[in-house]
Amino acid sequence: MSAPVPLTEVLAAVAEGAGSADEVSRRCGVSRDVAETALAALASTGRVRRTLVFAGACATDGCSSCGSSGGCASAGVGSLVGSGLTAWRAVPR
Amino acid sequence: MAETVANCHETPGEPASPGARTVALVGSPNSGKSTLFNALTGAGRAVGNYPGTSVEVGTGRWADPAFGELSLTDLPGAYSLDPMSPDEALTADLLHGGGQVDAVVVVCDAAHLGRSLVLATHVRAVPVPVVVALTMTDVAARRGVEVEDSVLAERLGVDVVRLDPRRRNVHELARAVSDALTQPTAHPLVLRPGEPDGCMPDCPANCTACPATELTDLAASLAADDDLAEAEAVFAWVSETTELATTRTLDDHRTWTDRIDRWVTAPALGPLVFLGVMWAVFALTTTVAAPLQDVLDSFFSGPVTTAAITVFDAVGLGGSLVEGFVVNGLIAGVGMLLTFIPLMAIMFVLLAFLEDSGYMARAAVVTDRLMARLGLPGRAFLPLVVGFGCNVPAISAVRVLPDARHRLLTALLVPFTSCSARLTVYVMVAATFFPANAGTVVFAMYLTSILLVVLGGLLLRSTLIRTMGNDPLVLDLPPYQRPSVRMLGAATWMRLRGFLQTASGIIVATVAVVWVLGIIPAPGTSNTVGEVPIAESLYAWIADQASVLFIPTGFAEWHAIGALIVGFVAKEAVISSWAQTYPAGADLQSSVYADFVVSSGGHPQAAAAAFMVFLLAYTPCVATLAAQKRQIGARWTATGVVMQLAMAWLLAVAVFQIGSAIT
Repeated sequence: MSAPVPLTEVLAAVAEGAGSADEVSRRCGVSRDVAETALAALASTGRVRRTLVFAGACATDGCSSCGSSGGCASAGVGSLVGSGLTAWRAVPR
Repeated sequence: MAETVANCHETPGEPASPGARTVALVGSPNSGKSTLFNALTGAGRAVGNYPGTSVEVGTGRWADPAFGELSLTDLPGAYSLDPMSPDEALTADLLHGGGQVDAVVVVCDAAHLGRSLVLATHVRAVPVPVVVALTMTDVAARRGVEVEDSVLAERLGVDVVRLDPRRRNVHELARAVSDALTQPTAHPLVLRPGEPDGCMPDCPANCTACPATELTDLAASLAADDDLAEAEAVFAWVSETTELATTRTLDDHRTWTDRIDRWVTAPALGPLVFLGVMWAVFALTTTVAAPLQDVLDSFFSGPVTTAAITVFDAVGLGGSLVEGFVVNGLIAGVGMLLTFIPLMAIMFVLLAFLEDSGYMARAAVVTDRLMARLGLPGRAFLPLVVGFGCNVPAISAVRVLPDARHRLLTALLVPFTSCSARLTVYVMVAATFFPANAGTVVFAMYLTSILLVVLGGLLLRSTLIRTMGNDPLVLDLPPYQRPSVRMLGAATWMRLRGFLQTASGIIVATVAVVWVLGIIPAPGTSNTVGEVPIAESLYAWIADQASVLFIPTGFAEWHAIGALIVGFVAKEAVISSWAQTYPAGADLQSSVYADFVVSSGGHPQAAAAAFMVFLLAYTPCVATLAAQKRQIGARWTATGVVMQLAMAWLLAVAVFQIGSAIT
């Protein structure tokens, strides 16, 4: 069986700014599951990477570097987006 | 195995006995790996850097009658064994190193089977006992996807155990791991394109792991030049396996996440949904908390104050300086802050609910879109969102922005985001002057905060920071999930504890300073130290001198101005110092209302609105200034302070003048 979409097409989509599986799915005309699998396969070659766009201050710096080291004093700190907001990026060669 | 260190978010686990065999848990992020780890080790988890690396791993003891005891290592989430990051390098090194792990459990997410199988095929290329744990089958079923684990087992050549780690039915997994440890290791999965037999020369006769398809030797592929062709082969194999192993029971493949996102991330409706959600949060918070706050207020100003006075009278210290400090300072100030505990707890629970459900990530995307339309850098919105919790870590977070001008702009805008310390003041003022619409008024303050960020951004872009690129925010949004009670409780407690720890230290210090200034006579008076009415004290004199500047704002009276001066240190101290300047047992709200009636010339609501706007816009706290100085230097920090004070004063004047004209 052949793959439902050439990985080169997926790679081009990511290089053009498709940062999510949804966006790859739209641009390449495949299901999201297929897009996710293609991205994972590409990631295994190092051609694309899932990068952490934002992890919240605590996840970025850890407790010790925080100016309010008395504790995560307020709402919103650290866990705004659970484990962080990520996006796929093409890795230049 | 790992060198464990203390971690404030983890529970130390029970270590396995020396010599216990090691099983590694491998899986992609969000595959349920850590949940499974907790289920296997009884939630005991010691976290530390793996020796010689900066990679954090969890270790714990997994005991089961099937094998006795094992040391379980929770490796970082990875999408492949390609060592492109320290996390993946550690996982690859451990598996390729030979003998470092006795077996591997690969966690495969049934709801994202293809993605998980890419990693699984990489692990199967290594000659080590492997068991596949199939998680999230319930999520897949809700999406109309049934996974046939026997097909997966046949394709991968190892045991596949279907489980739901949250229900902790993990004994079958223990049995499979025991079998994998005691039986001959299955032949590595060999993928060799163009060779239909696909078997290696030493492939055993009973090998079940060499399907006759277009396959590639993955271990070799990592070093191959034409890695894309190799990846194509893996992709094809995984696609075929996924197709063979899954059955779709629903024609409509859209998930609940898709359906909800269609509305909440829509360009026009999304922002309205966001505003509606945030209004509901503040309305619910203030409505539910108000009666609880009244009870606590009555408790501190009544029985606690009376009991303290009685005790001081009994020990002969009635009317002493010590009694004044404790009753008028600590009980009035700290007690007032403690009345806000129900309010903060309710708000923290609601925000944690929004975050853990996945909605907050959508809110970030929706608001990012608005920012981008205004020509402001979209990615800068993320640190700004953190600022609504606390400005200090938000300024630290600007470091994630790649562009230096984005970092500068964002660090200057963060102080306009309304931190939760300011919320306590909004609630008190709103409940005093707008009792019927307190929740809506608080919500309006948050809208004003967003407006200030936008206006401040536009102002800076048109004056000081004119050249700036725009980097759109494209995110891989996580699916919605039902928040767990445990997570909500833990997040709320962590934040509440942090708030009280920070606030209590600041408040005790400021209460002491205000108390000292309050017992020193003002210049030109004949009172003696310790026997001076607070209205004739040095504290009142300083505040009164400064209040001249605030006459156009309608709140130019020394109690309020004194609280704002103290608020320059930290907003947590505004309410406590305000309460401290009124007699013990006096009702703070009615006292403030009466003073504002006088200072505003009969327009107390307009003055209250102006006061809240000033509080929102002026310098948040000295800790924020210190963080700004670290990030953008003293000159820009000073520029920011001037901008904040100027905007705060101008807006307060505008609000009062317009408000008093129409009321």
